[in-house]
Amino acid sequence: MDTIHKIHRQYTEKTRRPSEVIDEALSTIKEKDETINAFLSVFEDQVYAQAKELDAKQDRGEAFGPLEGIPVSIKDAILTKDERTTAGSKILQTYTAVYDASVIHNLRNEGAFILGKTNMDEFAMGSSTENSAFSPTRNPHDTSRVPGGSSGGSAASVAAEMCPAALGSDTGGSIRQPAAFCGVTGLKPTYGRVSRSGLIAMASSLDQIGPFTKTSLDAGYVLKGIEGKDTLDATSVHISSQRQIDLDEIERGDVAGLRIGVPQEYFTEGIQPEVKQKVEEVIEEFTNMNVIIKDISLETTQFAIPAYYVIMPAEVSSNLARYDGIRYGVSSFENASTLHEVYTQSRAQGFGPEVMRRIMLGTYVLSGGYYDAYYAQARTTQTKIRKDFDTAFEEVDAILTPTTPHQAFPLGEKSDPLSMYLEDIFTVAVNLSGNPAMSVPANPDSSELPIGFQLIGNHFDEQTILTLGHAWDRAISRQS
Amino acid sequence: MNAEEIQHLASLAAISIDNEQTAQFAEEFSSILDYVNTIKEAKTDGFNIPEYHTETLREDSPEQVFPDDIADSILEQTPARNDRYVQVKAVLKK
Repeated sequence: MDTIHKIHRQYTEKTRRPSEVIDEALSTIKEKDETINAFLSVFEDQVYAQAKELDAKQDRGEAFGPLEGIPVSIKDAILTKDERTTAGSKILQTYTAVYDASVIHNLRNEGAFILGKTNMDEFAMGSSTENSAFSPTRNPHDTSRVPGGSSGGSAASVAAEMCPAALGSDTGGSIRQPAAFCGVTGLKPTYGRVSRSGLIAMASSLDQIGPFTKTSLDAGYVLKGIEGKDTLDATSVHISSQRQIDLDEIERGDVAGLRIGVPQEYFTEGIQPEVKQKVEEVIEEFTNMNVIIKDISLETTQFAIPAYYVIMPAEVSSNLARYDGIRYGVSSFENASTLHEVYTQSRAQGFGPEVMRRIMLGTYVLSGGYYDAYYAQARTTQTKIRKDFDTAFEEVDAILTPTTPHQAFPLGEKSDPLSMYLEDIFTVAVNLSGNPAMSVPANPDSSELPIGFQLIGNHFDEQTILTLGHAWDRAISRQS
Repeated sequence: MNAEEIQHLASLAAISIDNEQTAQFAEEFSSILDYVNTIKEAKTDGFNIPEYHTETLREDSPEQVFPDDIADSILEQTPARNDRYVQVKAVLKK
């Protein structure tokens, strides 16, 4: 499957028809998805009908927008009107969305193909997509391994060449980690850059929707199509002219003189040696481009996961209270005798164990007697984490780290909840601080398993990390 | 964490869990809390929970964002319904 950039040019030059692109997407899904299980639903009829219209538009010689005729798969945490939206959970397996999420509304306006809904860890809780109520997704590079999570289906759909782009959501690393495991690019925008209206909420102060693509330039294309102030999301921010994505500037890839900070705390002993080696190769390649590399320290790194596993469950315990068997979803109304039993039994029937764990953890840290020691302490630590990044960005333009401590692990390997939480060790800090961050594929390891490196940007400076990512993409394609 | 504490949390969270789940969660919670407890070691003097002062309230006027028939699609999803009312179990005892 070609990149967005290439397909758009093909449409403009009339060397490819939208129906041909859709045929390729759908036949790849038919060929591979029985094994990979990236998709929970595919909107075949809708995209065929839309393809016919776009073919006719091309025949009339009308110009195509940058995302027009581009197939995009959508994480099933994002509402798509009149279609099943499950958040990977049994409790919503019969739920049909009654409106489109704002990002979907935007993509439809841009003329993109909404290809289907992808598999995910239940309510975005997990780092492997094994917590899906609808069986796991497999890593296209090695189907005995996980694709990462929670946006595993979206990452896999792009890695398996089913579509050039996918949307995921990232609360603690759920776009970047699966991107790293699947060898694709995954961007978590600055908090507030993309509207969360229509995203099934996990932790409202941390969640962000973002793109999976094969390249950094393509990520810029998608970001431009979905970002911006939305009256339905009070936390969304107007993108000022200085902060606009400039695709031409990204394509030029002029990175000489930019300063990249490398934080010592992210290169500790727990990293798989090949991951460290491949990330160091990236740093060396940037040096060849006359990028200045600076050693920096982010002291609060060790507290990022503990702070995250206080703040996120606290918000989860509140956000998931709505799944009570009353207005929608799985309900025990028939069998329950009291109102309270409708709540407790519906939730017992509909939620998986990880969801219950996190709701109870959040309930605990917010409860009387524990609030100060945990939640208030975590929130204060969060302020310090943010300050760490702000201080670093006085000296550097971007920060570079490994995305994950190791490559994709085999399905079933991580049965202990805590060991799964530690998968996010390099990704959570920026969710707490709000900074944008992107995982870019480094060279794969000796057995061709993907490895990702992470570029962290200053607030609303996606432009710099996209440009650096593109410079790397270009260097790699020159080598091959 | 013991079984009683887990049951208390489950009850606060309105989730009904059986004895086997209670025992499982108690064990998992203990190891998770051991790790999360390290947050207490973070030195946070001089730092406060941030306060934000941006005015983000909109005009208090109805915006036509959703179509008129949205009520129908919402009601279609309701597990228990009586005409156009969501039905619940008795709240007040006679």
